[in-house]
Amino acid sequence: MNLLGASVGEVRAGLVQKVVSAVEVCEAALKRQAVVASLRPFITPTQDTAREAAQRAHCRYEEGKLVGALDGIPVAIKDNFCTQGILTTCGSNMLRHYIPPYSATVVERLLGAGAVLVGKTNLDEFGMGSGTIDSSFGQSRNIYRSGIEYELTGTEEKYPTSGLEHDDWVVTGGSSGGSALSVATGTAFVALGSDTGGSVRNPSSYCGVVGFKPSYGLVPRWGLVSLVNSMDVPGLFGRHVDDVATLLSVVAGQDPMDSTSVWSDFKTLQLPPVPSLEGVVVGVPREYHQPGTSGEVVEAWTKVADLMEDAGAKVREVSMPHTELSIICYAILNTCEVASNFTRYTGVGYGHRETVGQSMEALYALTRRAGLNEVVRGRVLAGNYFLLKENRKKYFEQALKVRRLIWQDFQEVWRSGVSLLLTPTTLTPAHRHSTFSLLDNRTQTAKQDVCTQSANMAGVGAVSVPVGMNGDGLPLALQLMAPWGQDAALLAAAKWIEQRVSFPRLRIL
Amino acid sequence: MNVASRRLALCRPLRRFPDCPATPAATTTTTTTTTVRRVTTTTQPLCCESKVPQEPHVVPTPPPKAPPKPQVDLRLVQLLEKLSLVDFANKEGIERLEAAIGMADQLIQVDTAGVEPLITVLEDRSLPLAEDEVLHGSQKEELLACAHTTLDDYFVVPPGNITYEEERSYHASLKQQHQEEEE
Repeated sequence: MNLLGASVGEVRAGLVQKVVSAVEVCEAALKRQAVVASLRPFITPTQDTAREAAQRAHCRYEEGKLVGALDGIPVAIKDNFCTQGILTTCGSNMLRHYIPPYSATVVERLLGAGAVLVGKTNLDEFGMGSGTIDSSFGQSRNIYRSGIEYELTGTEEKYPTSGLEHDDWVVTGGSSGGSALSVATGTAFVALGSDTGGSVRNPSSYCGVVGFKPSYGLVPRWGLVSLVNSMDVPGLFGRHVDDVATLLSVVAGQDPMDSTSVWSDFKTLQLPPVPSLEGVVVGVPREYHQPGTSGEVVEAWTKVADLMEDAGAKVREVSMPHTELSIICYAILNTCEVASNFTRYTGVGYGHRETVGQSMEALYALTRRAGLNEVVRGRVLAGNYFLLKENRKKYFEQALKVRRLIWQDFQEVWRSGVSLLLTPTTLTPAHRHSTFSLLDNRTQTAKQDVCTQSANMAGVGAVSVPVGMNGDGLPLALQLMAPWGQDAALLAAAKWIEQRVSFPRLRIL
Repeated sequence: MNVASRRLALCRPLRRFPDCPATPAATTTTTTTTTVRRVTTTTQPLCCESKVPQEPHVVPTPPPKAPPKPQVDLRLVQLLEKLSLVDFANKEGIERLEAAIGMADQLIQVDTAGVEPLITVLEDRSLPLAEDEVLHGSQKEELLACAHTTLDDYFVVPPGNITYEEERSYHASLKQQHQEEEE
C-alpha cells in the first residue's frame, strides 16, 4: 500500500494484521520529512521522540495491548500547543527557547491514545496571519507547484504539477500552515492546529486537506497558547474526513483545567460508511459570494450544491445580513483580547528577556520589542486603543453587540429549518507568494478570513473539504457549517461530499 | 490572469434548464454495500435552477460618511505606550494604528440599539467551577527553570516606579507640534 497516503483506518488495519509495523510507519514519515524539508512544515521535528514512541507502539501491537484509536499513527502538532519537555515557540522570538513544564490537554490525550509525535509545526507568529509567512522561524511553502515531484492520482484530468517560474512559490495559508502542510505531504496522518478566525480552514483549503474547526468548547484549550479566549478552538487536519473524526474522538471532551470546555460524547464517534443527505436542508448564504471570489470557486460551490439537491437534500438560498461586519468586528475583539492576553510576555517568568537594568517598564518594553514581531505589537497597541476609557464603549462594547448580531444571523437560519450551510472556504485558491506578499498582514488577513471568520464569532462547527482542482493545479475547497454541537452531522455531510467529488490525491514521488 | 475575465468565462450558471432530464454524466463504481456516483468535472447540467448566487453580493447603499480621523497627539501616544509597553508608539506603529482605527470606525455606524453584548457563545449554560482543592503543585523547580533570571527562589525584576520614556525624534516632533499649537 502507499503507506503515507493511506487513511488512519487502513494503517491501523495493517498494524493490527502485522502487515506493517509501527516502527516502519514512523520511519516512512520521518524519511518523508527529509524530502519536503525545504517547504518547512516543522519548526521542531521530534525524530528521536517519535522513534521511541513508535517502538513502544510496536511492542503494544506485538502484545495486543493497544491504547487507543491513534496507536502508532504519526501526528503533527502546531507549535502553539504546549508539549512538556519539547520546545514550544509559537513561531516567536519571545518563546524561542521556551520548554513548557506541562503538556496541553489535547496533547496528553493524543499521546495517551498512542499517537507518535513527529514534530511541532510552523505557524504565523502567535497565530496572527493567514499565510504562514510571518513566522520568526522562516516561511512555509505549499507542496503544490513547489518543484518537488509529485503526481495526482484518482483523476483522468491533467493538471500542472511543475514548479513555478522565477522561483515563485505558493503560500500554505495560515496561520496553521505547517500543520496543513505536514498532512498534505504525508509527514503526518493527522495534525492539530488552532482556529480563531479561520486559521485551520484557510490553510486546509490551500493545501488540499480536510480542515475542521469544532464547535467552541468541545475541544479543551488548556495548554493552547491563548490568542482570543472567546474564539480560539483547537482544530483538526486530515486527508480523509474519517481520520478527522477519529482525531475528534480522541481530543474532545470536558477538561477540568478549562472552564470553557463542555461535556460531549464523541469518544465512540464513527461516521456512517455511506452518509445520506435525507432530511438535510442546506442553506446557501448569498453574502458569502463576496466580490473577488474566483469563478472556479463559484463553479465548485454551484456544482456541489446542485449535487446535494440532486441527491435529495433541500437546498435554498438564505441571507445572513451581518456577514460583512464580521471582519471588522473581529479586528476589534481580536486586538482587545490580544492586548490583554499578551501582558503575560514580560521576560520575567519565562521567555525572552532583554538584559536592561534601569526599570521594570524599560525591561518590559524592550523585551517585548525584541520578542514580538510588528504584527503582534501592532495588535497590542490597537487593542489598548480600543480599550481606552474614552473608547471602550464606542469600539469594544459596540463590537460585542455586533457579535451578537452575527450570532443571531446563524440562529435565524437554523430556526428557519436549515441544518447545514454551504459556502466557499477561501475566495480563491492558494496565492502565489509574489502576489500574496504585496499586501500587509492586516489587510491580507481581512481579505482571506471573510468566509471563515463568522463561524468563530458564533462558535459553530465548520469544516473545509477539498472538492477539486483549478487549471493551475491548485486545490479548491468548500466549507460546511452546522449548529453548535452538531459536529457529528457536520462531519457526516463532509464525508458525503468527499465521496462524490473524487478529489485528486497527491502522491510524492 | 485577470480575475474578472476568468469569472465571466467560468461563472456561467450550470443549471438554467428547468425541464432538462435528470441524467448527469457520471462514472459509476460499486462499493461493497452501495453505489456511489462520482461526477467528473465535465458533468452535464443537472436539473433545476442552482441556489448558489452566481453574482457577488454587493452592499447596496454606500457607507455613511466616516467619522473624522482620530487626533493622534503626544498625550495619546504616551498613554498607549505606557499601557502597551511594546515600544511601538513611533511613526510606523501609529500609522498602523490609524489604519486599524479607520477599519474599526466602520462599525460605529451599525445600529445596535437594544442589542446585548455577546461575551461568550456559551452564555446559555453554567460552566463548571473547580473545587477549592490543590490538584497540582510542587513544581517550583520546573517553573523557576523557565525564567531567565532568578535569585534564590525569586523572580528578579528591576525597580518599578520609573516611567519608560524614550526621547525619540517622533515623540520630540509631536511635542513640538503640541507647543506650536498652544502658541
